[in-house]
Amino acid sequence: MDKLQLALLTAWGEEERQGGIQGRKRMQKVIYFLQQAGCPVDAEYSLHHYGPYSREVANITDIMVAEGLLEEIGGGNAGGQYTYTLSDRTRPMIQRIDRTQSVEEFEAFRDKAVELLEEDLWLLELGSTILYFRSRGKQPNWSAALQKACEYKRSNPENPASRDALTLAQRFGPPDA
Amino acid sequence: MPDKVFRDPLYNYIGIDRDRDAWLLRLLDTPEVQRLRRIHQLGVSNFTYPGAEHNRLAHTLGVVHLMQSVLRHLEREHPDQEVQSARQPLLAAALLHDVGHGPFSHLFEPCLALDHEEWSVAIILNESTQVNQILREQGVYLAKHAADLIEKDNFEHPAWQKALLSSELDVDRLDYIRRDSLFTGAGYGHFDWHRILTTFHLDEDDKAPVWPKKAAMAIEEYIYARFYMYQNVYLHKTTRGFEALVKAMWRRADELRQDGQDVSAVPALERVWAVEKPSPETLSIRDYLAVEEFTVLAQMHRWCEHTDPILSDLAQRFLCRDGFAMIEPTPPPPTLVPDYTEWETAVCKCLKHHGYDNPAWYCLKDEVKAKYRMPYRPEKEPDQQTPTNSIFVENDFSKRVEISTVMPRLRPISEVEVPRPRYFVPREPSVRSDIEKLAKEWTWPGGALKAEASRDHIGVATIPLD
Repeated sequence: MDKLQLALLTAWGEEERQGGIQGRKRMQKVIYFLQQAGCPVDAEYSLHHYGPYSREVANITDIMVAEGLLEEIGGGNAGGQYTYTLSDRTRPMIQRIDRTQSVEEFEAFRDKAVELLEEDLWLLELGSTILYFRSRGKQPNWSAALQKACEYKRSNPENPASRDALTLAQRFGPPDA
Repeated sequence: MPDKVFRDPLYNYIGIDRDRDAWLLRLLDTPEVQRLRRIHQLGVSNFTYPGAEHNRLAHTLGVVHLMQSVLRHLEREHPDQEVQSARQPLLAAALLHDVGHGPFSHLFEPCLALDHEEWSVAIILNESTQVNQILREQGVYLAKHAADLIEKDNFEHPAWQKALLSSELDVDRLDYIRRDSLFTGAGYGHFDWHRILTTFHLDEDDKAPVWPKKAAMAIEEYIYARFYMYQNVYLHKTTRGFEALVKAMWRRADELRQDGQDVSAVPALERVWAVEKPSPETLSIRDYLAVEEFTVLAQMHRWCEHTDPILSDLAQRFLCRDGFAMIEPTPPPPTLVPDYTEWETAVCKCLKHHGYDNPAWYCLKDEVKAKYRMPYRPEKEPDQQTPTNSIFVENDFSKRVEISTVMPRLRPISEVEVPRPRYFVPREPSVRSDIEKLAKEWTWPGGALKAEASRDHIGVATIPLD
């Protein structure tokens, strides 16, 4: 994940929802889904209790906040979530970027990203966990990945929300052989 | 029967029960584990700290010792079957977690495209190894369980078992920070490790290790020790310079090989280079284990006589400890796509002026990964915190919280650091002083919004030359 990609993702979140990216968990899961769908995002993910998590994504976010390229609102002692928007200095930078091949490849995922940014947070969390078990956890098919993810997250695989999470994961992951 | 006792400079005595854990002693005597004697724990840090000659085997024994302490504590705190049945796999994983390391520990991983954890798992699971044979004699599932605990993407067992071996506060780190401090002589690794090991409990909900408030100061010391060790030892500019030199040398050899030229490969490396991407699927365990430090050193000796002037020069520089000097240009203004091309071009022009006909091989870019620059970086949002990105303690109300929320002194060293690349150039006085002057006076020109940044994972800047 590089700074330009995160800035573009934040800009899409601002344009469509006028709210930027709401929550670090949402950011983590959205980027994971995009990566699994073939978006050229370089970030190493590992599975945590709350689903796939990339320290690199967390770091690039905090670096951009420290450099004044992103605005961070929220958090605090109450343990609330953070919201990210572009800073005033970053908006004109976005306007002036060279439209190179790598930028265009990333921008091709804009519609998918916007859809994910608006998705229910639990579906993102469970869906990304199912996707992780399917692609990295060596589960042979989606059904096994759903079972494994629900076992891992102590959730009922027959629950409607679990089925919705599976559908979401299937849309972004590899087909069953 | 009395314990088998090993003398150790950190713990004085490391004891292993000859009856209960005879299998562990047999495991220690396998050729795969004994090979760790010949792998420097800190790679080429001994170029900077002459005392840093300790090896992976001594560290491994230390990790076993600490795991034994943790297990004794857990058996008292949680006297249930779950801890009992995890004892043997956890001890096996502690002894074998580094068994797949290559020469000079992490240094040759990018050079030879290796992942030591992948090889550790392969060595444990492959029936041809003595390690595997001993584990199989102990139980049908022991090798698999131990390998599962080492393998990154494996979630077959409760998360607490993995957390003891690999998390923000685990037995591996607790040993190597103190051991590396002792052998380098740096003297930073002092903390109350005994308190850390014997006061935690496993959370009822997710089984994450949680420490009581009385252990918070010991953990604070541990985090500061990590911070000082990274600043002063692991990222020392001299060591990083030699690491960059080795990577450049190996990349030059790769380039020559791909160009069809003979690189005078020693037999062990010839077998590795015969496969496109060495992995347990493409290379036998035997051939992998044959690559040792003396193998790569012998290879470098051969390269000293090589007809390629760059390869021979880099090899000679390494073997004669003729390292590179570190240069840091003034930091560029914050931008979405940092572009160092113009700076690198200027350095290369300067090198060319000093007689370096292929200057890109002498302008080595070093970008330290964020996880190494910031030894403890907890996740900020509580609902994303786990033992692999945070350390948990109880606050005044016995509620589990991330430690920097109750120990504010940790915040300054837990916050993000904006990355800044370093460059290594030949240290001849005239070259160094000219490039230092260039760095001091460097002003970043416009056009910093180019989308294609120079990305070269091996560390050699790719420079368009005049």
